[in-house]
Amino acid sequence: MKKVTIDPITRLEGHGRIEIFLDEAGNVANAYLQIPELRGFEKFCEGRPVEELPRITPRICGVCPEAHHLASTKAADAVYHVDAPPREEAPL
Amino acid sequence: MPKLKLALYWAASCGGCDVAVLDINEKILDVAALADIVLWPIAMDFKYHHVEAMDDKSIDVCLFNGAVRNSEQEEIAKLLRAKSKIMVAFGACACFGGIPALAYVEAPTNDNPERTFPQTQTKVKEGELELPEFFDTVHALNQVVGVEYYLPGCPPPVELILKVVDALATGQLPPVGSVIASDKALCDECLRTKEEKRITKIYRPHQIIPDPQRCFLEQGLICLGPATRGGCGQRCIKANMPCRGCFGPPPGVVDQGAKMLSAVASIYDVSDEEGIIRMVEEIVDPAGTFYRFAMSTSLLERKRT
Repeated sequence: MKKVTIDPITRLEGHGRIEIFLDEAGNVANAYLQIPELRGFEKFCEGRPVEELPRITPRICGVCPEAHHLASTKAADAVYHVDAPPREEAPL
Repeated sequence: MPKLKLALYWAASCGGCDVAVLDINEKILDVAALADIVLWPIAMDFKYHHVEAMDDKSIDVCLFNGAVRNSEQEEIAKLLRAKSKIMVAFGACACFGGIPALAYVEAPTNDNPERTFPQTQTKVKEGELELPEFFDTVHALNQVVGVEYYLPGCPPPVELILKVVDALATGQLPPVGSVIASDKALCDECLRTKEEKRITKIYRPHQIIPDPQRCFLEQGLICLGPATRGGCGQRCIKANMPCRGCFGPPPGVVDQGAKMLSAVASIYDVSDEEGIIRMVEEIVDPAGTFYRFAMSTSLLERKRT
């Protein structure tokens, strides 16, 4: 079966490759998206102190680090049963 | 002057270094005037076969970010090395392994009873699919190919990226092997007051409210300043957060974590074994903290199997 490969996929964050299989008539029989990348944040964050995660998880994605930073900060707040100080009290 | 050919590529990376290049804002127009970009997956549609078709050494500069931890990343690193006159290890991951190298520290729940591993070949109904071989080693770029320059940081600050752009524009390149950052440790540029470094307790950051004017280490908070190269503008310090070492080891130091261990040991005021045991227990996660960004270039580097 003929295979059309798009490698790498571009203009988005992340690594990807698309393999398209064509049948005899030249129509698409199936298409596969592959992600040739794995870093393992889900595992290597285990064992790190919870207050360090807001500095580690933003490195999941350089386009949306703020989302990961806020999520891990909120999680750390929940672990310690604290609320963020009101805006006017924040030191920065 | 003919336009330079510039390639930017990402291996085991987050995309932050590519975003940092865009953070130079309107100066990206200077880059566009200076160079034709021939590969930049985040922003342009060039494919690997375009690079394969290029003549050797036809790319003037390749800015390569991300660590190398699978066979595709290694292959593209070698391909770009062959096609490029200058390779720049761009960002902490390419320079030292970066955050992905934390994969070296074994997770508490590394449970895989069915022994499921990534496969390089997978048969599907229509044919066969291939994935790169997944390494158990996270390489810094210079552990895979020769590198001319290093631009550390997670991500590198805009000021240093512009230094690279300027060097390319004027043709005034620093000596090969240079790290485009300060020649001193972070402590040298840190503006906090430093008095006497002698501590009797190490705190976790949430256990005390840090004095924003005083050296973190003197307050008992782990800060990797003594074991980290400067040049970042002490941006974390200014935000009242201690350094975690994203600029890698200072000049003359190979192993950043060992340097930090030595720094902590030298300021801790303890002489009896019981005190030493207490000190060791007060440092939570030394491997993941002292080697946060530079585990790949540690002297304890794991050999590839």
